[in-house]
Amino acid sequence: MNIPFCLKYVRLVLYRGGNNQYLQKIKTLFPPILCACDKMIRTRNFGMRFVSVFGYVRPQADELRVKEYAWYRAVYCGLCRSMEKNISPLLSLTLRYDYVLLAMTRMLLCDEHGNVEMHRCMANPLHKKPMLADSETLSFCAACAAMLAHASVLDNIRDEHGAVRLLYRAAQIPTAAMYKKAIRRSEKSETDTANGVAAENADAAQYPKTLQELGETVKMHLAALSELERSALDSSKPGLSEPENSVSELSKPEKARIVSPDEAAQPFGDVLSAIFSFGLDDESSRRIARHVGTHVGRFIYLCDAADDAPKDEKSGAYNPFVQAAKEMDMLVRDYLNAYRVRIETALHMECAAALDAISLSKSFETHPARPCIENILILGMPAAAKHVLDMPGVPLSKKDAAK
Amino acid sequence: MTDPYKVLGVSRDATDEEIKKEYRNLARKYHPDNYAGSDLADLAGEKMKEINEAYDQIQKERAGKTSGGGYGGYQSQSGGASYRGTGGSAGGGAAGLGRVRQLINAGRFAEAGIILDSIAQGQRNAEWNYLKGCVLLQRGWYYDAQKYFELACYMDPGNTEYQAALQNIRNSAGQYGKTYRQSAGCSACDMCTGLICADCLCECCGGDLIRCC
Repeated sequence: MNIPFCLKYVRLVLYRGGNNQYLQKIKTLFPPILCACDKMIRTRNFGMRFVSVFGYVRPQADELRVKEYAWYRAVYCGLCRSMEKNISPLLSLTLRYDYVLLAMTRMLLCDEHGNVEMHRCMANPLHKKPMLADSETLSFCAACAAMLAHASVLDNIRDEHGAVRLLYRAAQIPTAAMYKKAIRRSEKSETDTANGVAAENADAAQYPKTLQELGETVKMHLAALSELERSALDSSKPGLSEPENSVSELSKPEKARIVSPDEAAQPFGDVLSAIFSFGLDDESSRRIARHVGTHVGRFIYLCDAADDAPKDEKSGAYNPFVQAAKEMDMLVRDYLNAYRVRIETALHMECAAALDAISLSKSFETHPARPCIENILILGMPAAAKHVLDMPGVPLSKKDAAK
Repeated sequence: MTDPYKVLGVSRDATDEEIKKEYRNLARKYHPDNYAGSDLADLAGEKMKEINEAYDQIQKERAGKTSGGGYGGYQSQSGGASYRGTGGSAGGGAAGLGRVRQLINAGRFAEAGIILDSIAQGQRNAEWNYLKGCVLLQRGWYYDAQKYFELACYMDPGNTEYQAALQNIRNSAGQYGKTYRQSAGCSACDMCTGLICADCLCECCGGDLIRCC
């Protein structure tokens, strides 16, 4: 059984347990447990690389109207419930705010408003909460979460070594099972609607049609990403995968190919672009979704790169900003400060481009997701970028506390 | 036919002024120039058309007498939008770069990029950097685009075109986020009306707020 998962779940129950007196008692009696949970989760990034990448795409809740925020929460909870019901309760632990944007974007593009229902959930069994009823969009997002979790665990098994790698091997068992289940479920629903889908997608042969194909596409882009990172570390051995070589890679940086931050961000943009646009029937909304996905993905990658830069500088892992800093003979912190305007502008432009694309959607003006999406793209993401550039390496939630 | 009020995102009892304001906001937002060079340009054109139609329809419904079409300034031209900021007025430079400029103005960015990459390292002057920045900007690689614009400005500090390109991207990023829910604000016109109203009220009670009226 995966320890960080359990710890995270304990923490989730304790924090979200509402006003239950027993939970309150546990909270006061066992602060060390909570501290340990928090530390484990935050410092030693057990979670998965790509899953933990997410988290920069969140709304600024205090700028939303109450009903808008309630709707946003309903989507979040509905997504969590969909993950529990359709795939596995374990999967709901990987739920991030970013998936909510994915769900909302797809709902907007399909012009699907969704029904809000009252349900209980495991993390908060005492109160019923408003949640979006399970729909095709939500179960697709759940499947995507399973796919990304699986892909990232595989990625970590390849990159890590020693005990950590063993841990990921353990994590692979549940994630692989969840991924398989997601594919099985999607196949079942696809056979139900096979005729309709086949006819609609005839014009788009180049796009993945089944979830499995989408999984392959995602894996392909992620492989391209790690290939790029490896070639940036050492261009002479493109097929390098053994971690013990990382030291020797560092010792000959002159052979490295310079990969600009934008180039490194592109594969991740492609991943999200494929996920956002998967299975949309309408040609124009597919195009919009591709744009939104690309820009959001690139934003996430660049943010994460800036955030991890000090850590990567120490460990010698690939990071586009570390490489750029080395090229200028600077420490990465100084580099991030010196070129802050450029980086921040680039990040803002990504948000602006995503907003430009999504606002072209037919139902944009009337859809309940509009205020939330606008809030995320206009306020939330630039704020995350600002936090990251202010204090790279400090987790986002702690930065909030510091503010 | 969809509800024109919904298209503009205003309520049925909105004043003419509010509708006009919202229309202008939307028209500015969806203006095809904002999407020049992107494959979303046709969608923006459609949206623009929709907005224009909705506005026209509301105008017709309201005035009873048809008040001569929409707010004329923003008409959607479909296709062939010239790329913003890269007007080919500043000719000169290497002969190959003139061709690149033409391609960029025609919206054929991929070809322009290939030609640019084929130019040898030694011959990459300020204009090359600027054009490379334009190509990258269109592709959405904003970080690199700025890098090349900065280089162009550095190599040719006197050139206003390069500086304008860099300023353009910086400004639009700087302005980004300031527009969030701005329409809820109070325009200068509202303030004046408010003042005049207050003045009238004061005069009713024998006082005077604004001496001159």
